[in-house]
Amino acid sequence: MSSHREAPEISKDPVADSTDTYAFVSPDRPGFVTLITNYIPLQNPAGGPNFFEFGDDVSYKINVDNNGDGLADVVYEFRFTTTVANPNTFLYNTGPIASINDANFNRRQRYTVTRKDAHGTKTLAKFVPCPPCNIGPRSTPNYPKLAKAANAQAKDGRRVFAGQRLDGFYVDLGSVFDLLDLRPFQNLHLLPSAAAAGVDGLRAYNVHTIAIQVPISDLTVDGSTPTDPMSATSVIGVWASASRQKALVRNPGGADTASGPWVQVSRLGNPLVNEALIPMAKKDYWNSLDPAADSEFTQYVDSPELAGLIPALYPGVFPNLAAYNKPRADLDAILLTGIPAGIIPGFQNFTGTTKADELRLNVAIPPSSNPNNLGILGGDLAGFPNGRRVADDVFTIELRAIAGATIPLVDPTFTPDGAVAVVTDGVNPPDNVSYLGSFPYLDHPKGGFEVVPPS
Amino acid sequence: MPELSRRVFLTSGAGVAAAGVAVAAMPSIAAAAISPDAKADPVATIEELSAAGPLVVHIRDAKAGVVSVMSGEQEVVFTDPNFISRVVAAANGRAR
Repeated sequence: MSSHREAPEISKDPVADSTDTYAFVSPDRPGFVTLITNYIPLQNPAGGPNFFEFGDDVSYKINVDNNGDGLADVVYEFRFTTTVANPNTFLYNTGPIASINDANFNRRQRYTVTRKDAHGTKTLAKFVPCPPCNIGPRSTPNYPKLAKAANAQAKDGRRVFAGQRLDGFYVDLGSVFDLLDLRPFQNLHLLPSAAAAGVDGLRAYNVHTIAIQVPISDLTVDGSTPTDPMSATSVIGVWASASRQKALVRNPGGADTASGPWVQVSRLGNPLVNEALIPMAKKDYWNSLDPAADSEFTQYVDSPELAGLIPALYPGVFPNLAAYNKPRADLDAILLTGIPAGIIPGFQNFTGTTKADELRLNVAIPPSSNPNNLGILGGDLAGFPNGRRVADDVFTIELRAIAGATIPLVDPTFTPDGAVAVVTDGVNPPDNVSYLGSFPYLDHPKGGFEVVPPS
Repeated sequence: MPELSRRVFLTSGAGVAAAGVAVAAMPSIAAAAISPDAKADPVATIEELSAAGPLVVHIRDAKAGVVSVMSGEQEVVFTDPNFISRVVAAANGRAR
């Protein structure tokens, strides 16, 4: 998955497990950037009676590096507080929740958002309500109304939202984890079967979303709103992180004592980096670090295990990839430094030589009026790996990149194998996942009543 | 964070100590515990005692003599073989 359950330890702590991070210039509000990060993967919408919620004991952060050193220069922190109106019932809701302040909404969360930079810490919004989980037509009869009430204004035109959403990431989980099977091409697999259509393994699963929309000037190194895509000040690097306090003492009755400084347990910049490139023994260690430390993982980007597996699992289909033995400077640029000027006409998102896994967004590239889900691979400079929009097909983009599609950007002597231009898991929106046209862009969550488990 | 008295931890019962090495295996620490040259202990004020929330004391490596005290969002690390010696003795059922 993008980063769902991507490391052994964090997979046991879903409340702090970041699944996806997005950063894009807002298509309906081009002077603002939208930053999104999701937690609590693979939520079965019917998962009650204690439905999904953020952790009061977790510090959730969206980090922005605007000077290329791999360290956060701007941090948006979200802290949650849970309250129970009636502790003498087991019910999440004691009747229909008609409004976000409805007395029937028994267990609710509110949050505070702060912005921290070199000048200090500022509270942007306090006690913002989260919507309830989408339970069903009797409990949450008008879910869009509840979600709208939780779509809040913050200081200086910013918007914030935190709550349950439909997972916007899509991929054929069942096939790719089965020895990198790709159903449309499984007739070519080492262990072949008849080709078939892709199946979205995340279809109808929910996540918990933290989203903030801020002026571009909130993020840039000089506080400007850049218009020149070739200027270094136009590029920011984004990643999400979650931290827990260092010590936890479990007390009888559940009132645990957490003490000490915050320790990072989850990190997510580019999709699939920790998931598919970092070896298992180092995944949780990688999660604990700042991007500035990523030079120690360069070997796993420059010589990815997957690039060796793909030709082995699809014999004879990727001979040029199999024969390529140079360090993958293309992946190094896409994932660790940004793409320098002079490689793609009119584009760069280079942040310098510090190797750091960050979602790099050139904020001077305007939103596309005709988005291509393959992003830059599809000729759309406003899409991944220029930041990441909610509908970008990051699995296919990275699969093709690892399979050799982007090597010619840095090594013109290489010719990608013919299959590279078409290889995919066969899962695409809008058949499998839907989105909203405005903030927070990820669609309303599926309800527990309406979702039928797969047979 | 104010400097903390080791005596506070031993008497308040608020601390949690993790130590896995017996005193008998640590002659240097045992010797330090009875050294007449040990400096006078810093003592918490009444106000500090009243304001103190839950504290977690962590001794990851008793041999190294390093104590970590976590309170609120802070962590203070200091070296105190005498304190560790008494904690380890207590962990072995010989609390004062």
